[in-house]
Amino acid sequence: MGTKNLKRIRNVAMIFVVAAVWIFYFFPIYWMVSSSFKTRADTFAIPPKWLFWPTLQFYLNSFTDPKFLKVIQNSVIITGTTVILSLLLGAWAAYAFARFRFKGSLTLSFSLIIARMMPPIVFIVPLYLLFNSLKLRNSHMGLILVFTVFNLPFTVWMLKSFFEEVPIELEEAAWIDGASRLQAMGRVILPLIAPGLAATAVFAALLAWNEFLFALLLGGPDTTTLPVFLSGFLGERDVEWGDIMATATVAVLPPTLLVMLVQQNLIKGLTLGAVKG
Amino acid sequence: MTSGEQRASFEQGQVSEGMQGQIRAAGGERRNRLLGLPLHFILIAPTFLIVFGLLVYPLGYAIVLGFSNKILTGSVPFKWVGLENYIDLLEVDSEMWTSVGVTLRFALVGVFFEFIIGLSLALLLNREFRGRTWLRVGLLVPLMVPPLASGLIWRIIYDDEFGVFPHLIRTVGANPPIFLGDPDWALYAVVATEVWRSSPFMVLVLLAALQAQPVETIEAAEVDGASGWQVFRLITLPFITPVIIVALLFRTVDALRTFDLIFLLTAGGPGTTTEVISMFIYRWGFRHFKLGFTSAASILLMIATLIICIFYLRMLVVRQAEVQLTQE
Amino acid sequence: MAGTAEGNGSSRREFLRAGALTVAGAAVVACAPAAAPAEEATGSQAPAVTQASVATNDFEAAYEEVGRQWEGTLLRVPVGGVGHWAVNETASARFTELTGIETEWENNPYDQVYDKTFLDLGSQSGTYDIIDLNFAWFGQFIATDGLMRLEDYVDNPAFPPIDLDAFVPAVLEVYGKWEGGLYGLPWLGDAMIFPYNQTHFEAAGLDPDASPETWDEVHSFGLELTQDDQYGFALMGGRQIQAMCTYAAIFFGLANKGFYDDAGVPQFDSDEGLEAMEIMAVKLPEISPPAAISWDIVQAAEAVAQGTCSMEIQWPGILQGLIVEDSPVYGQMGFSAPPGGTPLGGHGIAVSNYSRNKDAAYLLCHYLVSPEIQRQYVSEGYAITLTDLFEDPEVQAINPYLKTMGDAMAIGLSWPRTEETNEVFDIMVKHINAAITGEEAPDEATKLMNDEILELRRERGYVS
Repeated sequence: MGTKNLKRIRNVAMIFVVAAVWIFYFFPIYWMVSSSFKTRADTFAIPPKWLFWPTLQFYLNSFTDPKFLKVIQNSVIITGTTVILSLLLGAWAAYAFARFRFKGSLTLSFSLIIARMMPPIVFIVPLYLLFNSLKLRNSHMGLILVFTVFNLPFTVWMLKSFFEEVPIELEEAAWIDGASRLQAMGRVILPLIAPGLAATAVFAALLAWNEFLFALLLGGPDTTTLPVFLSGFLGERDVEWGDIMATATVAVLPPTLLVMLVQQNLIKGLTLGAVKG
Repeated sequence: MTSGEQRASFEQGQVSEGMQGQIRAAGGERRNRLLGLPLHFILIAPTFLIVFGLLVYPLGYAIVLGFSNKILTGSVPFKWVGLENYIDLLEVDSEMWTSVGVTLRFALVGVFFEFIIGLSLALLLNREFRGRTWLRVGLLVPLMVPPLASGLIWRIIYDDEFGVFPHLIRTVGANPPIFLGDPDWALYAVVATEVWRSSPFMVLVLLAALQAQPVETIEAAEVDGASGWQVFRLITLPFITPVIIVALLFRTVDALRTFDLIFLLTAGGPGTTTEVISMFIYRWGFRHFKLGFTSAASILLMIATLIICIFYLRMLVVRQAEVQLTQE
Repeated sequence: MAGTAEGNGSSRREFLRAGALTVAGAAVVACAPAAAPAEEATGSQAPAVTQASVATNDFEAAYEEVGRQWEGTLLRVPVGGVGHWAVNETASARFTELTGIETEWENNPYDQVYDKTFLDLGSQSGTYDIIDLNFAWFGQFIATDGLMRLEDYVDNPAFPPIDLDAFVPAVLEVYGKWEGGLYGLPWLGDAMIFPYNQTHFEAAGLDPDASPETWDEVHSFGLELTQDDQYGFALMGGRQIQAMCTYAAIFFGLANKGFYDDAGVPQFDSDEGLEAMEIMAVKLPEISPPAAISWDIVQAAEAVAQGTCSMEIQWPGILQGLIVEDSPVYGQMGFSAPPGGTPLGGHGIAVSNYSRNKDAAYLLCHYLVSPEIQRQYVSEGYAITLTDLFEDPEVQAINPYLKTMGDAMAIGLSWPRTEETNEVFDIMVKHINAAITGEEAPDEATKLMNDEILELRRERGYVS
C-alpha cells in the first residue's frame, strides 16, 4: 500500500518534471513556429495573441525565392563536408592522444583548444586578408576549412575521452588476431564508441550549420549559408520578422532529420556497448 | 617515461606487463609505425597542420598588432607603442574591468546552471520512460535554431509590451521587471537564454557518457545492495568525470566569448551591464576599428581563458592519476 | 592601373578606349579569368548595333546604346533583398535586359554591410563595383581611398545626361560631395519624421491637426495622451543606434546646429545638449511604456502601429505598417516634420575605386537615380531624392507621408561624416542608454559623452 502510493507520487512528479522540461525548451520554439504563420499585426499584437488566422505568405516567399534552394544546398554541402573532415581527422588525433604516451602529448592536445579561445572577431581581419590572397574567400572550401578548424579541438577532446573509456584489452585481442592498429581501431573501437561519435557529429554539424560571422564575412554570394541568408532580412530600418521566422523554421528541419537518424545509431551504439561491455 | 618516443609509445597506462609481451610477439614494433614514422605522429599531424596552418597567421597578426596603434581606417599613422595598449587595458578604471566582471558572472552563473540542468536531464533521459526518445531528439532543437532567430524570439518573449512572459506573470497577479531593460535583471535574462540554448549540449554529451558506461558494474553494485545514490556517487560519477570536465571546459571557453546572443538581446545594455568582453572587443574592433587595441584585449582574454583551462586540465590530470593509483 | 578609368576623355571614342584600357588593365591584375571580357571590350566596335533593340522609349534607348559595349559584365552590389534595396534590385533587372550588364545584389544584414564594404575597400580587393554610401560612412570610405571621383563621368557626353541641380540640394551635398569633390549620386533620401495618431489626439481633447511644435509640447501632449495602457510616445531607448538618432533629432530641434562647432569641439555639454538628454532620459520615458528603455526601431514602430503609443519620431522606411489597410491604426495617422529640426539619413550610390568595371558600374548608378526610375518605383518604396518629385501631386498621393518626408529632408541637418563618426555614435549610444536606464544621471551622461568624444577627436587630429 505505502510503496504503491510512493510509486504513484513519483510517477506524477516525473510527469511534472518532464512537462516542465518540455515547456522550458519548447515554448520559444513554438513561438517561433507560430510567428512564422502570423501576419505582422498579429506578431506584435498587444497583448500577445494565442489564436490567429494563419498565413502561409512567408513560406511562399522563401520557397519561391530562387536563391533559397541554392542556400540550403550550400549549407548542406558545407556542413556535411565539415562534419566528415572533423570526425575523420579528429578521430585519428584523438586515438593517438588516448592510446599513445609521448612527450608533449598533453601540451599538444591542450594547445588545440587555443583555436577556440580567441574571440572570433579578432580573427576576421587577418583571415580575410589571408583568404583574399589564397583565393579562398567566397568559396565552399574556405568556409569548410574554417569550420573544421573551429570544430577540431572539440572533436579531438570529446573523442579522446570516449576512446579512453574503452578497455585496451579489447583492442589487444584484435591485434593478436593479426589486425593492425588502424584496423583494430576501425573494427573494434569505433563501433563501441558510436554514441560518442554520434554526439560529436551532431555538435560539429550544428556549429557549421549555425555559424554566422565567418560565413558572412569570409563567404560571399556563392557560399551564402542559411544563417547568412536569414540575416539578409535585417534591413536598414526594418526587420522582416515573418520571413525570418519562416526561414528559421525551415532551417531547423534538416538538422532535426539528422538527429533522428543519429538517434537510431545512439541506441544501437548503446546495445553494442552493452553486449561487448 | 624515459627514453625516446617509440619506446614510450608502448607504455600505455592500462596495459599489463604480460599483455605487452604478447603484443610484441604479435608484431608490436611494426604496428606502431607507418611509412617509417611513429604512428601517433602520423595520426595527429593532419589535425595540427590544418589547425595551426590556418591559425598561425591570424594569431601572429594579433600578437604583433597588440604592440601597435593600428587603426584600420588608415589616416592615423601607424606606430609601435610597446605595452601601451596593455597598460591602457589594465588600468584600474578602464572599461575592460567592467566587462571582465560581467563576463565572469555570465560564464560562471551560466555554466553552473547548464551543468546542473545538463546532468539532471542526462540522468533522467538515461532512464526508461514514455516519450524519452522524443525528448532526446527534441532537446536538441534549441541548438539548431539559428542564433539570429532565437535572439529575436527571446527578445520579443521578454518584451514588456509585446511579450508572453511578462504577460503571463501579470495574469497571475505579479509585477514583472523590464527583463532586458532593468540593469538588475538584464544579465540574468541573457543567462537564462544562454542556458536554454546551451544546456542541451551538456545533456547530450553527458548522456553519451552515461550510455558508454558498462551495465555490468552497475548491476553488480545493485546486487551488492548499493542504493541509487551510492551507485551514482561511487560508480557513475567517477566514470563520467572526464567527460564532465571536458564538457565544462568547452562550455566555459565558449561562454567566455559568447557574442551573438548578447549582441541580439541587449547589445551590452542597459548601460554596460551586459557588456561582456567579446562585446567590448567587437565595439573596439568593428565599430572603432582599433585593431591594435583590440588585439591586445584578445590576447588578454586568451591568457585568462588559458589559466581557467589549465585549472580544468589539472582536475583532469589529477583524476587520471587517481585512476592509475586505484588500478595498480 | 585602375586610374585610367578617370581619363578625361571628352569624345566618345576616347572614352571607349579608356574603358577598354581599364578592363585590359584589370585583366592583367586578375589573371586569366578576366581575359575574355577584355578582348570583348577591345574588339567591340559597337555590339549594340547588331543586337535587336529592346528599348521602348528614348530613356531606355540611351542606356541600351551606351551599355551594350559592356554586355556580360557582372556588377556586384553589397546590398539587396529587403526594403529600398529590393526595389532597386527589381529596377536593375530592366537595366540588364537593356544593356546585357548583369547585376548581383547581396542580401547582407544592414549592420554588416558596412563591415563587408569596409573590409573590401580596405583590402583593395575590388569585390564590389557599386558602393552603398550611407553618408555616415563617407569619411571612412574616403580614408581607404575607396571611392571613385565622378565629375568626369557626369560631364562626359558619352553617357546619358544627368542634372545634379534636380536633386534636393542638401541631399546632394551630404550624400555625394566630400571637400568639393563628387563621389556619390543622391540615391535614397531619408529623414526622420513625426507620425502621430490623430484619433488619439482627438480623444484626449487635443487638436488633431496641430502636431507638437516643440519638444516641451511633445511632453505635455504626451502626458495628456498617457493613461491606462495607452502611452503618449514610443521611445527607441535600447542600446542601439536609434537611441542616438532620437537624441540627435531632439538636439537638432533645440539647437538647430551640428554636433561640433567650427573648431570641431562637440557641443553636447551646451544647454541644448543637456536639455536634449534630459528630454531623452527623463521626459520621454515618462510618456513611453516602461519597456521602451529596451526598445529598438521595430518595437517602437509596432507599438504605434498597434495603437498603444500615440507619437514617435521615426524613419519613413519602417512606416508602411501604419498605412496598410489591415493596420489597427489605418486612417488614424497624421505626419509632420519633427519639432524644430530633424536628422538626415540616407545614401548615395558610388563606384568602388577598386572595381574592374567602373564604366558599367557608373552607368548603373546613373540609371538607378534617374528621374524616370525614381518616378516609376516610388510607389513600390523607392526613397526619392529629386525636388520635383516631392512636389508632384501624383507622387504625393501615393502615401500620406511622402510630402512630409520632402519637407523634413529640406530642413534636415546631417550628422558628422568624418572618419571617426561611427566611434562617436558608439560613445553616444552607450551613454544615452545609460542615462535612460538610470545607470548614469542625465547631466553625468552628457558630460561623459562630451568628454569622450572630445578626447577621441583630439586623438584623431580634428580638434587641436
